[in-house]
Amino acid sequence: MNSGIKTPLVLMAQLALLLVNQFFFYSCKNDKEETDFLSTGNVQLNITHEVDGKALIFDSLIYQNAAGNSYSVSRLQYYLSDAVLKTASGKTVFTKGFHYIDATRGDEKITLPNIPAGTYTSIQFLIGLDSLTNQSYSLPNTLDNINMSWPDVMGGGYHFLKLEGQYLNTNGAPKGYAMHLGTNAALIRHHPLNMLLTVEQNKTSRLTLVMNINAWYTQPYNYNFITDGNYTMGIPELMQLIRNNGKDVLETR
Amino acid sequence: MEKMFWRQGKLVWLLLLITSVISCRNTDTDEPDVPPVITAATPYYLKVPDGFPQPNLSRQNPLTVEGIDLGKRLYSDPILSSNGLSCSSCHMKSLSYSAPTFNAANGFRFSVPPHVNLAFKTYYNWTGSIEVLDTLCMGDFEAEFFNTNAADLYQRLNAHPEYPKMFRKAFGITNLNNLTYHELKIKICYAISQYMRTLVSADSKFDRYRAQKTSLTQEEYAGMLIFFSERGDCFHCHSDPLFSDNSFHNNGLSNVFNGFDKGRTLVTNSEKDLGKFLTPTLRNVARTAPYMHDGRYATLEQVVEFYNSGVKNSPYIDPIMNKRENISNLQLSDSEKKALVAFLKTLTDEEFVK
Repeated sequence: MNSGIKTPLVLMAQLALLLVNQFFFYSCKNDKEETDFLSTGNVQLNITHEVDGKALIFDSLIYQNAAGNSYSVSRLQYYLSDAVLKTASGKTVFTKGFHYIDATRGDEKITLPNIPAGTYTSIQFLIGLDSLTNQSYSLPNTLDNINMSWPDVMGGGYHFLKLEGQYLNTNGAPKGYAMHLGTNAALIRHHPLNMLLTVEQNKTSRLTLVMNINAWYTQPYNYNFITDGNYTMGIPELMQLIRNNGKDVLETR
Repeated sequence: MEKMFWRQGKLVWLLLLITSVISCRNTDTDEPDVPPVITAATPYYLKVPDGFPQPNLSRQNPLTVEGIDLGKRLYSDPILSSNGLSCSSCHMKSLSYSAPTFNAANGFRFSVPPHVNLAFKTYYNWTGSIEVLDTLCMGDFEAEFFNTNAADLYQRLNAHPEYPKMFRKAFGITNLNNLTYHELKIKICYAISQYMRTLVSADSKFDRYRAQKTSLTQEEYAGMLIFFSERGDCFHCHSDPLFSDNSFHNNGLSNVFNGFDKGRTLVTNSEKDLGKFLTPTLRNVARTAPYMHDGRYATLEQVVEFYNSGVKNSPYIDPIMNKRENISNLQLSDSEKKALVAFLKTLTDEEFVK
């Protein structure tokens, strides 16, 4: 009597197991094609800074943006975070972590650890910190992070970007500018960057990431220090202009 | 069984040794390959206030109870000098371990930097001429400061009822005469720097306000809003909680750069560093007058007025300082200026300077 009741249950259980097994089988098979989540390697990013193809030289009033402003760069500090890598078929690897970049220290190398082996065709970053991280005192209290803090009375969290220097005003005299981004509304989700990067087990794959400073001042908006404003902190509409321009400031090489 | 116990014991010790060596932060040393010093002295653990960065501790000069005791005693003892001076002559506790000004032998007149929260810094002196706290006071034995007589120093220390024992406890030195004069000075500086690392100030009225232990007056609160916003734009360089970004800036004090006004350039020989000075901490700033590298301003009111209307433009000025119309005219009202001064006075740690 009992067996009559048991049999359909057993059959259902076996069927369920078979379905689960098939699901894992196929999903594993697909992963094997492009990414292997069981074996991982590292991706090392060499980050350099340029102005329209030429290496950035600090404190030199030799650059010109799309709006025609002559300018220099004296400080460039920012956070890159939460890299997302994709394969040609759209399989996605999400990483979690932030990297502080101070361009005045020269080229910076950062490492994305434990990336599943596979071939990737695009990478994407946040410039800044996601809303969960962008809270006062949430980052380790290093001098770098402390100096990037965004005061509580202005909303708290951290500066995402400090880009500062001098420009020539209408009289031809040097004047300071400070393009600062912070608060969650100014977070930049950079456009995906095309690449062809193979990650192999226990190996480090290398990629060069280039930031073009002039890209901060064009596309979609030609930002003009003289007519738009020469500092952005505490001025949401100006931060939005720079934020929108900041979606295509990086490229891979 | 016993052999296995000893083998495991050795393994544990080996692992402990490896982890202790790996975990040592070697950020404050000019001798990166020097192995860690092992003494019988008692390790001292520096309490890091909330929000502060990790301290720059020294591998070659680890903090010990005995080393700090020795340093504290030497800090205020004229035994190191031939002219009656000690460290505390120019670094007075009531002035947050600072003094008004000092006229150096090279003709430079400078405001004496306070010895406060030095454990969390990576540069010292106005121009960042020193990057290692352990040897910060090596120059103090020279003629313009202590004018130390080497033979007298050995004689006085050896004859002292306490010091020989204190050096032995702190550094394992059984006979001071076995040290060269240079080695003796280094050990003295090591002890003093250990003591200086313990001079931590983080209990001002503002700290207690932030910890919800006290309240600010309306004027102090208004000053805080000015300080931490673009209205006053103080926070970019005097960043909380150290109230210094440990970096160098030309704040528009001068547009002609001679002598000490050259600032960081005196160290780097780089023209772009003209007029740059290490951002001074504002902790206990009400006690550290006069202000600026040369002590040109006697009061906080004068300092605020400088930032309000006196900034001078130059090719070397920090962009933060000349980004406004009319250079750096903050256009603060009289009440706003008073509020800003009132807030600066909340940064005094009364216990620290008592």
